[in-house]
Amino acid sequence: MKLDQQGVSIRLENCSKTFADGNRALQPLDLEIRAGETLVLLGPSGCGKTTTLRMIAGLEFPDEGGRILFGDEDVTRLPIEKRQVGMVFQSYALFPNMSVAQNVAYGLKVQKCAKAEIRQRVDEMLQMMELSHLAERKIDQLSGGQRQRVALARAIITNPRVLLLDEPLTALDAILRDRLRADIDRLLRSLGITAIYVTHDQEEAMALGDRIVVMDHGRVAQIGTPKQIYFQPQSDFVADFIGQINAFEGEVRDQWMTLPGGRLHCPHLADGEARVYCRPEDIELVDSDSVDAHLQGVVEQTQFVGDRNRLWLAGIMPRQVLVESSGRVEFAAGQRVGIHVRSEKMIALEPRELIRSESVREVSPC
Amino acid sequence: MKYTLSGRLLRGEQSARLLLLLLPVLIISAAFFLLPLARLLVISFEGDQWGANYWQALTEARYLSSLVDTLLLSVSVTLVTLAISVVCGLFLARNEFAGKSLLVSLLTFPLAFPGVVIGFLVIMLGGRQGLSAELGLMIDGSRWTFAYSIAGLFVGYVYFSIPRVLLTVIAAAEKLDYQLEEAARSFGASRYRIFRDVILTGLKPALLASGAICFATSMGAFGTAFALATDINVLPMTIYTEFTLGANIAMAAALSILLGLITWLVLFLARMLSGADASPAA
Repeated sequence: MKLDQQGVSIRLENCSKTFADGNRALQPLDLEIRAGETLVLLGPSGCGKTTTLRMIAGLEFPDEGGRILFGDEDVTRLPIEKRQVGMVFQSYALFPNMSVAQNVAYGLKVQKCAKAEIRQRVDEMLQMMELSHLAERKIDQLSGGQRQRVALARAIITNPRVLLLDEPLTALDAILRDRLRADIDRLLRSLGITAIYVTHDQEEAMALGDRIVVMDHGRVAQIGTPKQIYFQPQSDFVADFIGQINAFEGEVRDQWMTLPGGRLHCPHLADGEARVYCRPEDIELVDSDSVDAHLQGVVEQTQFVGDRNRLWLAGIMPRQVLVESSGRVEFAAGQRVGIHVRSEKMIALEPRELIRSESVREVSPC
Repeated sequence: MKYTLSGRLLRGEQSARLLLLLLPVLIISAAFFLLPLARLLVISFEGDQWGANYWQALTEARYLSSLVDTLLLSVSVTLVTLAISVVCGLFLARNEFAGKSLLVSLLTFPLAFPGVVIGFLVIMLGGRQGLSAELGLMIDGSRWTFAYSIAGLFVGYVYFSIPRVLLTVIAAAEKLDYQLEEAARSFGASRYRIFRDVILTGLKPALLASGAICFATSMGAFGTAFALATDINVLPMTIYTEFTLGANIAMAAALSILLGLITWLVLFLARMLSGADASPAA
């Protein structure tokens, strides 16, 4: 089912938010969301992602000087009632006194659609969301996943200009979350609706987002596709927040960084103090006596997670280094191993970025 | 088999012990409630004919009007109290301001007053020497009094009913899910619609429970009516008059039983109706 009304593009210009208590939840923000795009706002709690979503919804208003545009229409001062947005809440916010069908029909009823039309559209929607057999159920007779589907159906039946999802999967258990994530992804693609999705779960963000906005302390840390965010993080914070990552820090001289556990070949770095990152899956494990074993460490802890082994190595850096290997290879604690890091797999940050994000962290620890 | 048998035995022992623990409350309710009530019931049927007292109570204008007046008074007190408390409770639950806790404690002050004191307060307000009489003298030269009528009783009952309902409403309003309102707003629902569909529905259990207490208290309250006295003809007063002045003990008993029955019936109907209203789809 395609919606009659395609999603609009959304633009935020210079939108900041200061709450009544003087707390500035959001620094001035510029953001452009393309029509039909799924944009994920990702960050730890208190990073401003929910505030941004609520401003787009019309539940909060930006400070003086901010502007919000839906297509060409300036909606900055319009309350949520006039914005034609669909919302899905973390707590589902389904009306407990109504049945599934009544919940789904509510938006159409408020908008005074004809009875016959309401019935037909609700039937269609229930069918699409595989809820037809639950139409007469009360909300408290539904499972978490079913409630989530009802909430989605209720939000999209009115053909909103944008769909806003506030951590819709957080209240569910892991297996259900995985499945619903795929369902939501398929639904958003097939509807072609502009969607803004708030989450603190980076896996969810990468699975659903066309683009991700990583936020930290009321600022945008980085905007990019999931791959850009993962492979080319632009700040210490993003590198650390998305997935797991190892940091190597030391003095570089003549393309080699000296570390407690040996040395690291960094042909792309100039001489001086530097820090590079590497994802656990990008580090190669080699025999400790191999010529490629530039760095040597001792396996301190292993964790078998099915498709792979996770190894924590000591002796390379003051902090443990996390490496992943195939699940079929045996490792034992105390075993000596060598590692090899290819320079093209390393993530180097500009020193400027490094200093900036570190100073932010010191001022207000998360 | 042995296991289930011993299990059942154990359960038997347990229920015996539970019965022992319940014994005091059973004795007390039997001694001070069930037995007197049974006695009352027996007395109410005394007289020349079976049920004549009841027939008289329901047909004779004096008793019937007392019954209807009491019922109307209690229903209107309950509705007005609920309306005031919902508005006031929502405001108090959703706004923070200096002196809020002081205001709440002032509003709950009447809980401590006996009915007689409430009656006294009503006389201060609407009696012959009261505030409204003074005001009337200033404006049109006549004393405006309402304290000695059912209007005075109404004011007094609303006054002392508000705290009972208000505290429950505040507690319930604080627990309302704000996101339900935001969801309704996202569809463009008007404030009235949100109030009806979301807020009132969410408050309903609290309104039912506190409204029931409010209604039952108004039906049976005596002290205030007694303090205002003269021409107020509510059921507790009628019972008192029959019992002490008329020495018509059988009639007083029949009226008492009727008072209890009617109160119970109204509460039962209210609960039934609102329950049906809550699930039209089922």
